[in-house]
Amino acid sequence: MSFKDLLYCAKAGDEAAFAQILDMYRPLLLKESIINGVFDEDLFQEHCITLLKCIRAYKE
Amino acid sequence: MIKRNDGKGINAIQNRFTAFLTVTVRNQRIKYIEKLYKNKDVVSKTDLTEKTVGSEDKGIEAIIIQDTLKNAVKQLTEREKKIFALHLIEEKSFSEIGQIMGLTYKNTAAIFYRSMAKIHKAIRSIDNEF
Repeated sequence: MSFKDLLYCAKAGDEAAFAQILDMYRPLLLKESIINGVFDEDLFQEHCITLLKCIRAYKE
Repeated sequence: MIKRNDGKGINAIQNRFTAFLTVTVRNQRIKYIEKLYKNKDVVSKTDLTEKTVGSEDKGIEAIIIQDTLKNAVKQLTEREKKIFALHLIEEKSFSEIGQIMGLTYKNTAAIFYRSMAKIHKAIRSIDNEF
């Protein structure tokens, strides 16, 4: 399955596709959740929500 | 195993999405950090006022100096106050403050010493009145 299909599935509300995209982007989200060298769980949560919003908002 | 992205054809969409996500996530992070330090800032500000109000039995001169200091601190901008509180009360270095506020070491130091000069000026003007 290509990323494009995955993205469209996630956009349509497929949870498995979203989970796969989340797995893909987890390292990026983790990296951006570190404040002053400490991992912030709340911020990671925010980033997961942001990812969901981004998937919904993304247009070609 | 996901095949390495060559950025062409069908992968272009992934690259665009990653770029979009990265920018959004960074903005989110900045907002979150600002929110975090706003809450902390309120705490350090209350500390500041408590310390100036606390001691009453040190004579009229001390009270005058305290009032001058209070007014001088009030005249500083929000950013100057924040740096002042972080440096003097929380004892953070300029580079740490710079990281928090998104400024360079030089900028932070300059702002701090400028606000220090403002306060010195306020105290000196009181000295001249006597």
